[in-house]
Amino acid sequence: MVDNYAIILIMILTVLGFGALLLSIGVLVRPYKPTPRKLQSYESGVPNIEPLKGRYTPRFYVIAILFVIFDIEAIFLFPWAVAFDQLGLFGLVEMVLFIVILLIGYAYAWRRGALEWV
Amino acid sequence: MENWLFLIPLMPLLAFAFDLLLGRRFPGKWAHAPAWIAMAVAFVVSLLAVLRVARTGEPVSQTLWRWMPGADLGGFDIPFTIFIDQLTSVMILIITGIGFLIHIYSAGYMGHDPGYYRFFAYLSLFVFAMLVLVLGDNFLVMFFGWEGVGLCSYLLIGYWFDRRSAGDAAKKAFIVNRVGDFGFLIGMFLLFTTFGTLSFFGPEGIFANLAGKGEGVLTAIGLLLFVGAMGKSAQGPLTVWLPDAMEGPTPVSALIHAATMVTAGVYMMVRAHALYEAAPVALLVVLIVGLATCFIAATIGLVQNDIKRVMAYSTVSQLGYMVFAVGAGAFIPAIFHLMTHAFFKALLFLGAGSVIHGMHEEQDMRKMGGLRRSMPITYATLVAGSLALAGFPLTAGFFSKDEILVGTWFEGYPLAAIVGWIVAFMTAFYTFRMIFLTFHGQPRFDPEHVHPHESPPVMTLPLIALAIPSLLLGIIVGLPAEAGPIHQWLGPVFEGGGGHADAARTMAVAVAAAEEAHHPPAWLTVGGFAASTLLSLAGIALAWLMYGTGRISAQAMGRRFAGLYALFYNKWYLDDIYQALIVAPLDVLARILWKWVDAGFIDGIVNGVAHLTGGVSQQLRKVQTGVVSNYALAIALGTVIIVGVYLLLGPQFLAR
Amino acid sequence: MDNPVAVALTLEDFKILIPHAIVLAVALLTLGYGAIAAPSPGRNAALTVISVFGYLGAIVAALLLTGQPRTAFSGMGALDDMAVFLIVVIAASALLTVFISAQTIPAWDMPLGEYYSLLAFSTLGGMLVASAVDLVMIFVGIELSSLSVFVLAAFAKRRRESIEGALKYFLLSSFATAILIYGMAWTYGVTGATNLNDISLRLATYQDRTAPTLLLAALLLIVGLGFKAAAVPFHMWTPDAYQGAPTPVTAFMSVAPKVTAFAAILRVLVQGLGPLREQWVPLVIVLSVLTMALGNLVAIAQRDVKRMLAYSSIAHTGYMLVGLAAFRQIGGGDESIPSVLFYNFAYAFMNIGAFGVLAWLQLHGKGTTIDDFNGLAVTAWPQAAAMAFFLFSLTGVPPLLGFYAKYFIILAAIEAGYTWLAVVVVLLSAVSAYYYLRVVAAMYFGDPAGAPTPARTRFFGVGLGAMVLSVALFGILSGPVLDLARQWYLAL
Repeated sequence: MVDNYAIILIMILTVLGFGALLLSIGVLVRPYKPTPRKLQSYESGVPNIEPLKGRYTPRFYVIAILFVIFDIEAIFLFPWAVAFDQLGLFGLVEMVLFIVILLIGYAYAWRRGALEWV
Repeated sequence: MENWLFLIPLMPLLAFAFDLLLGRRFPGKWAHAPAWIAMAVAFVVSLLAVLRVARTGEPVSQTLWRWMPGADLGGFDIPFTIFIDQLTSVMILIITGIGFLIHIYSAGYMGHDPGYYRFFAYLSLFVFAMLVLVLGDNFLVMFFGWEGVGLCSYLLIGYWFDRRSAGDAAKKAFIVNRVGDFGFLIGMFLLFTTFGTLSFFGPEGIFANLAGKGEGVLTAIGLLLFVGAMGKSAQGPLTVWLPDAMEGPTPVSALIHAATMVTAGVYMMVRAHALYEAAPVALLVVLIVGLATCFIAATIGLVQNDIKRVMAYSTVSQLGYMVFAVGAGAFIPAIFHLMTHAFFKALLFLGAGSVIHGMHEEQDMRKMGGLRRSMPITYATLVAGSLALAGFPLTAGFFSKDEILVGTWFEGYPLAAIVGWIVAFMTAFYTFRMIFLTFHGQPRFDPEHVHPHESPPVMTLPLIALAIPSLLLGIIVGLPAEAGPIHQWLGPVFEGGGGHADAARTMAVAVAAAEEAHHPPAWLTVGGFAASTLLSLAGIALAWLMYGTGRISAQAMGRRFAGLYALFYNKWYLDDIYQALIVAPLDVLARILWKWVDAGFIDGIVNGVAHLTGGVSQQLRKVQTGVVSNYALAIALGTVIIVGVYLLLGPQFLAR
Repeated sequence: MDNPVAVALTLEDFKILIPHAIVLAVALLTLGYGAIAAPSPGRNAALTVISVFGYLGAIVAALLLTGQPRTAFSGMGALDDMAVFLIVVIAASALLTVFISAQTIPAWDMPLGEYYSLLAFSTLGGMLVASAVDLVMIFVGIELSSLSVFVLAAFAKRRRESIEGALKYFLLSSFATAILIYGMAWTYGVTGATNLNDISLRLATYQDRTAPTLLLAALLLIVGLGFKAAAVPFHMWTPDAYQGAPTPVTAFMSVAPKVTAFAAILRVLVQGLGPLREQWVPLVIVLSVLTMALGNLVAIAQRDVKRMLAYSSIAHTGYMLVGLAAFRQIGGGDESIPSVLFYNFAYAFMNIGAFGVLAWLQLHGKGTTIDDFNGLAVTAWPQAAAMAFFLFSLTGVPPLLGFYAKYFIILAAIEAGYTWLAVVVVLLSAVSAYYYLRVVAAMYFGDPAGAPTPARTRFFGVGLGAMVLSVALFGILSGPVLDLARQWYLAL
């Protein structure tokens, strides 16, 4: 039992160590000559108009939530696809039901205009 | 068959619900239809059940559900069971049969009333409650019906609630009955603590476990239950409500206040006969109270002028007969009289209703007279009922009354029997006084304004249907005297064996064996017949002389016995005695309590408590600040305190 | 762990989900149809009919599936008698809510399709909890139920109080959920199982039942579930959320989530942590006394009937906890859990009924204070009579349903030796009469000037009528219902 967790622990340590290593190499190697423009947040190259602490329109949240929902749907499809052979018809029916439920949600979101940027 | 028994009480209940909810919307006046159908079905099912009882000799029963389950909790386990034995059979046939006829009659009598549907709803509800009362196989279900009929009686007495007198009468009936019910209730408590159950039958039931219980306790129970019976059957000091109850519509008087509800007390005591037999002192009290009521009510009946009041006092008096028969231990004659009385008294009330209906709501006999020609059917049937009530030889009332008197004598109370015969004479007198005043002689009403007319067939047919058993029932079930079919039918209820193998095993076996051995001797039977016949005829003859021909002046008699007349006319001053002894002191006491104790002391405490509670409440309210972080803090604090107490002090800290 | 994809699922397993599937279908149908069809009275009627028949179907299906305890999904779920009982109660409360919502929700410009859909999802969550025998499933069910109710509570989105109440409910609920899941984690950590039967079996073998870890697990679970059931001191969200929500929603959320919470409490504490009885019963006693006392006392100070009913619902949680505190052991002779189940059953009818009349009043343009009830008996006697009926039942006046509910609770408490607790129940019931009957007094003795004259409200009539009938009838028929509740126990 402990062995199983040891592997995870080693994994975590490796990832952390590797990340730290890369970042410290960058800090050590790159030149550091800041200007105000360079210190701004990166907004796809467009200069910032207003401070970052302002309010966002809730449309962003709606889109984000929809994204999360359908993203998770896609993620759930992967393990099912991998184990498709063992699950068989039963799994197929299950997954169709799952997708139908999501489709109803999708249709609802569409119909209610959640996908439009008005 | 057992599975259909539930229909008997259910049908009237459905009719009630139907009429109450939809009655107003019925096209025309059809509110009586559901009630009629329900009564007919209930009657047929009852009849089938009774036939089954007759065939097998065994009681039938159906357990519907466990009403108050608590077998694991102190044994308070009340099943809702329908139980029909020979005794119940008599009752349900009376209730559904006579009830059916009265329902038919009511459609005519109440035809012009705006509250038609309400009337039938109440009437059906009453039948339901009454059936539950007699069908229950334990005291609590019986009490449920007992209260139910009380409620319906209240509703129906006060049916014309826009009349002040009707409202007052309804309240009086309800309050007086409440006194009785209180006794019944305490009796039930005592029963439960003594026996640990409220069921009548079965090896665990009350009647199978009477042996070994102290006679003192049984006497107390018997007396307390009798207080309930006094209320319901208008006996002794609790008589006062029944005459006033005549404010209700006449069919109500016929069904509730003559044929069924008022006999509930008699039924209950006969049902609990094993208990009463084990408590002779209680029985003696029953005898005395019954006899006194019987006598006093009859004397009051002699001088009443309102046709329905004559009936009312006669009912009280006849109930007195039944009650003292029970007190003497003559149970079968009591039930026999209950049965015949149900028929002829219902008939008399319905007939009186027909008269009142034909006379445009006139009830004073002094303003009637000579109606014989304009209402022949009513006259004929009413005479039939009167003959039965007066105990005219070979009518139903003759046999049952005679059996009560002979039975009482035979059980060892000859004095009571003699008083009973005196009352029989008075009964015959006042009954025919009523007949002669109403139907004979010259009309004493104003023919310009009142046009007496015969009632429609819907009213007269039930009269005829009731007149036949009133005349013939005695010959059918009462002969030979003291051993007729009614005795054979009810016998198993009172004997150890047969119907109730387990019922009244302990006590009744000895009693039954003794009863088997000695029937009343022939001289007593024949003598009783002769006395009953003579007194009945004498009463009728005296009435004829005084009111039929006027040979003896009623006014002169009244003057000669002015003292007695005043006493009777004022109902032995019972209402006044109550007013002086109970109501007035209560009033004074109430005022003192109200002014000083209640307003000063109790209100002070109550207001103080209320003030305190309100204050606490106001303070606690402030905890609800509306700020969400405070709420979260409460949860967090609560959690921390709970966990802290548990982990530091242990759970047993809280348990202490 | 040998076979990573051990699929032990058969169609038989899905049988126990038939009631759930029906409610899920209701949720999806109402959502889809409500979105696609244009708003019209016909559409609203169709949505209502779908919901009504769906819940009826779920109730019938659940009742048909009664019988031997049937576990499925590798022991994750079971449709034993308790599950059936609670599913019936939850579905019935949803059904009754539909009746009092059908006219109010469209009248207040709220989308009926989404409303019914959320109602169905919340019901589904409750039903899942009722038939769950695993901590994970219980958690999922509770969250599904709660999340839907958060949205429902905020349904009157133009009203600030509605949003405020819902947000408070949401925030605090998240907080409590964290505590609950923490407790579940500890439970798993100590016993190594999430299945309640396994937990119970393992706990039975423990020698030291007062180990701090074990106690902590139990306490955190009680706190988390106590929040959902609105037990003091975790009740603070209740009045605000109840008052803010649209009245039909309040009716629902005062019953269904509470029944759900009690389903979880019974499953977790009795079925799972039953061996720890001696440890958690003292806490439940303390919570029950606090809850009864605070709920009843603060209710007195309320002038607003809606808020008063919110506090009264806290008080009723307290009564139910008394029944739970009387728990001694699983098996015959113990009346505690049947009494709790019966109380839930009774509570559903009378509480939704009371809120229903309130919603009816609001539909007729009145507010929710006591003064708004003045003289209602004169202008609308059936509604006034129904309200009086429900309030009498909530007070516990015989022979109504509420009386029998309290009667059984009191019996159970006395049986368990907590006579003083029974006395507290009776005393506080007497206190409750004060604030309940104040409304009755207003209806019957208040000045009828300005009282609403009823318009035709068909669904209300049916719903209120059904509830009045149930309150009257099930009181007299309490024996069979209690027997049903008792069966689970004997089968377990």
